[in-house]
Amino acid sequence: MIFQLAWRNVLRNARRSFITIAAIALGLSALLFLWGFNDGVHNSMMRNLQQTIIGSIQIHSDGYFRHPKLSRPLPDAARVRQLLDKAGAKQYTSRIRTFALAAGNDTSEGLVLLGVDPQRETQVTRLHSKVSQGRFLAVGDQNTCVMGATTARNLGISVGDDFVFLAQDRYGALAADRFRLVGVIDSGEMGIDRGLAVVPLAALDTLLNMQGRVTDMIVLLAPQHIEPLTAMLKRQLSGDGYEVLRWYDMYPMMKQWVELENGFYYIFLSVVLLIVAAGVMNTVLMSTLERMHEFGVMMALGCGRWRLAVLVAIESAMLGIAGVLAGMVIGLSLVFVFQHVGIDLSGQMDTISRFYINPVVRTEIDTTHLLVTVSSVMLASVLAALVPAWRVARLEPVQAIHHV
Amino acid sequence: MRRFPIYLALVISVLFSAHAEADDTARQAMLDLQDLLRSQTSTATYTMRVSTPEWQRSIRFEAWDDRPGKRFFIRIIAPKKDRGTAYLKLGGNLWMYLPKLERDIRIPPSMMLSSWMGSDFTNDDLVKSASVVDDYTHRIIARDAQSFTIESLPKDDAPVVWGKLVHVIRNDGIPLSEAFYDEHGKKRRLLEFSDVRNMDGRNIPTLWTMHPLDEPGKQTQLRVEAMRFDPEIENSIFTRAHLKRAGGR
Amino acid sequence: MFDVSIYLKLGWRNLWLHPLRTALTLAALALGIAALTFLSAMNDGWMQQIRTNFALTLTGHIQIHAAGFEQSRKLADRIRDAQPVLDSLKDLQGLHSFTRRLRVSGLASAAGANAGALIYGVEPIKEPHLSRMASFVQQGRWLNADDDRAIVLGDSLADRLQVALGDKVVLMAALENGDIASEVFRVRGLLHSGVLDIDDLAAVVPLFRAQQWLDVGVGVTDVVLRADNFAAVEALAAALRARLSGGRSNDGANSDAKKPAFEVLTWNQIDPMAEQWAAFADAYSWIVLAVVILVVLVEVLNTMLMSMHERSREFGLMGALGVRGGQMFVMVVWETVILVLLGSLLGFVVGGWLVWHYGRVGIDLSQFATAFSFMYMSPVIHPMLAGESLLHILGAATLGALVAGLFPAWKAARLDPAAAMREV
Repeated sequence: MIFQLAWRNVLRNARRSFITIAAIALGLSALLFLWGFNDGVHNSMMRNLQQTIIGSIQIHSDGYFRHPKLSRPLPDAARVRQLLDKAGAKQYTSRIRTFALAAGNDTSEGLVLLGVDPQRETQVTRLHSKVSQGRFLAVGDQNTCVMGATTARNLGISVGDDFVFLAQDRYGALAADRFRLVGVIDSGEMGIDRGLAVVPLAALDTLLNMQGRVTDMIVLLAPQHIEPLTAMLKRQLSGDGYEVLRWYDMYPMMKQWVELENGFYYIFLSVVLLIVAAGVMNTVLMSTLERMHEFGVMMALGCGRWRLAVLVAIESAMLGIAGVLAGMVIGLSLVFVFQHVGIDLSGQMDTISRFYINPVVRTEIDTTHLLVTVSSVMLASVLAALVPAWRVARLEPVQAIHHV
Repeated sequence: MRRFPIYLALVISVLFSAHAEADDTARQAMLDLQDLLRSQTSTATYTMRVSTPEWQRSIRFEAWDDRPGKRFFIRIIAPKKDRGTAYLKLGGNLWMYLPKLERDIRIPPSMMLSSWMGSDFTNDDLVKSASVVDDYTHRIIARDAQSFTIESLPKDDAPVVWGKLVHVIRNDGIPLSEAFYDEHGKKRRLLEFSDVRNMDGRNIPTLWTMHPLDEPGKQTQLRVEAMRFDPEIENSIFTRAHLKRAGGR
Repeated sequence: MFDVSIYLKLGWRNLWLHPLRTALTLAALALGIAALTFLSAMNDGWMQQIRTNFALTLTGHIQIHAAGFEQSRKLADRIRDAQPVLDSLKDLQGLHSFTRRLRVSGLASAAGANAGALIYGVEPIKEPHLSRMASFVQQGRWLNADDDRAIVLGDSLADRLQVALGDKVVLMAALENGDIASEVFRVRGLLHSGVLDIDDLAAVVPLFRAQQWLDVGVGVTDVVLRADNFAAVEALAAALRARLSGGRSNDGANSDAKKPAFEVLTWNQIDPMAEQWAAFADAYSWIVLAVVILVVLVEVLNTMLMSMHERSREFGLMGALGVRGGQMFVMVVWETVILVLLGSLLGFVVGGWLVWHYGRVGIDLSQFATAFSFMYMSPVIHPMLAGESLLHILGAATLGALVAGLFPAWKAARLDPAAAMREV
């Protein structure tokens, strides 16, 4: 009965209802769009970071990440590969990672030396796409090398030149061999441009006397698979001298940045939420003011004040639900549209693409952010409507009728 | 309380002056020890065996040592893979020659403390070995019928990492062991000397065993196969050109 | 012609005729403006913090090197005599302070372990005016003026070397001619900055000791400058470049005059990443602010519309009594102007107070993100009012609110009296 009455009232005052719904819908869709923008930037940043070189998960022998010692390679690479295959992870590759010294004619530079499988590596990471001069390693290469532009410049070598790598082999003895620079990476990322060199896995295996052993297993995964696979690997490999590290266990800075910015965002958005709630309260209060006369008449006709208050509350809730629904439809459509079209920011920031950020932002939204936002807008609009309802409950019929 | 260290320093200096004579004896014993094992110049052939729980390998090499000139030359003879690899120390620098590359490389500072040929000796041990007598102050702390013990403490400004060295030497001058302690008094490495034999007219220990105490099960044994004391060594041996020539063979 | 003051009086009276409604509209406006003021200040404060933290953690606003050092980082490319450079700093506009440094990479070792290190020879007294290094010391102390073989280490470097306060550390580095030199130091302080590169690698020693050890005489690798503020950096760098390009060649030898002897680099040239991060974060926040402005405007418009809607009976009555549409429009516009000005003022006062308050105590984001090893950021944001963005925000909001007020006024003017009277 009372629902029907409320429904009729909402429909009767179409304009007022529309304004209230619009206020909520606009607020919610703005919030959803902003989250979409924010999550789009962050997710693409994190994806790019993982795809560039480090992968989503790395598996080493225990402690190797912090203290790489070739005397402790991955205990059983075949077993790890088997586990990955069984779990359905397709993009993985193995590497040898060590410190080395590149010696040019009269200078030397210390760097991180990676031995990679040229074929598998290109399926997992996008390092090959960062080569700005020359080429990436190819299948069948012997002693070839790709290194960062700054390191190459400091060594005074360019593509086609030979130089020597000096490193400690698996037994701790100094080993050295001649390599030819075939490609230079100019990524804009300091850790790569200065201090990284990549050579074929087989060549590094020979140099370091590894006899088929590898040190790192790199797996690239969709975000939702990272946690379950990590848990599975940790369970299966526990106690056997392995470490399973997610990308942010190894390089926490970007995740921290994202968390910091999300924190900043939560403050921003809670202010927006406050404005939306105040707007809703305002419109509902205004409309009760406007309807004083009507309420007075209703009370005079015998409608109890609590009943009236419940009526107003239900009306507000209906408007709230309608507003939230409309806001979700508009907001998610915006997110969806800009996911496909993309927001091109390349005008504002020309070189940003170097730092794992695509200048064309494709919006996407995390489920948590969606749920938190929708439920807080819903809650805010209901709470905002309680104030007018409370006012109605205290109404004196005679005064109300006289109210203009 | 702030003055306390001054009193302490006074007390310590008084204690030390009382031992001045003992210091001289200890220092002389260290000089004698160095003279016994390295003489002024020497040539020798060694076999080095490195063993860990997982693997072991052995390396045979020849060495030319000019102690007063602070220079030496090492050439690997076996295994075949490393044959011709040569090291040259000139003053504070260490050069490595690799026959495969036909070029020499100066070992950079970042690799000076890396292990030499995978052993428990570092490249720095090769370069620094002569300065022990001068970088430390020496003191006899124990003596019995068979042997005496020298404690060596680094001088304040000596660029050495150890907190203390303890040498045990037989009364006839043959060394028994050398222990390396960190600053907190924890023993980190132990070098043992054994198997005394006659080489070129002197009795010297011919088996040197280094135990790195933080890596259980690992050790490096250095066996002196042949040694000649105070031969004439040509200057041309200690040159970078010789690295290439010796490596070529 | 009506006198404006009549409309003003009329508007004012109208506002007080419906105190609750007026209060609601004012509140909506004030809240919106206060929120925008606060958010914009939070954003500016954050940007400022990123830049300041970045530039003044270690880098400094401006670094002067011998030409080529930034690329090579070799001791050979050093300033052999810093005096001409220091002379050129005399009475420069906008210079806060300066110091000399000698930087070299090398190996740190202790009895149990060794690790690569970035060695900084610094002036113990001057350094804290430029960088935050001294403030990062968490155990022990920073270097004193009379320290000789004292060293302050990054905490994770110390951890890898297994050394603590009072312990001995030997540093090794290559001299210009390639010879290796060692020097012994005692650990006097351990620092923790949260920046990986510093905590993992930094070894800070007195400048004169580093100069003796590395056999560089009075040579240094950097002269580091701090400007009075960020705005002064570019002008300062330009002035320096002009002064230094006239000088003689670096090593005193009469080499070709065309090659500059020094390079003068600003903090954002030294690490363009920081500036670009800041630029990105800025663009990002402006998108957010734009959307927030939109939301605020629509809410204000909504409130105004509702208020007009409620008053349609009143307007109808006025229309029936012969008030013309144009007069009604002007009356409502003046009402709106008064409302907007009052609301803006109120909002600005509230927002300003919030900024002042949180600028002092800071907003702690650490519940959202626990640790920060990146961008030298602290999790506490201090909002800051920047004149420029304040003008933008207030201008946009006030203008927008006026426009939002014009629309209802226009509607009021077009009202059909009969329909309006019937409305309720």
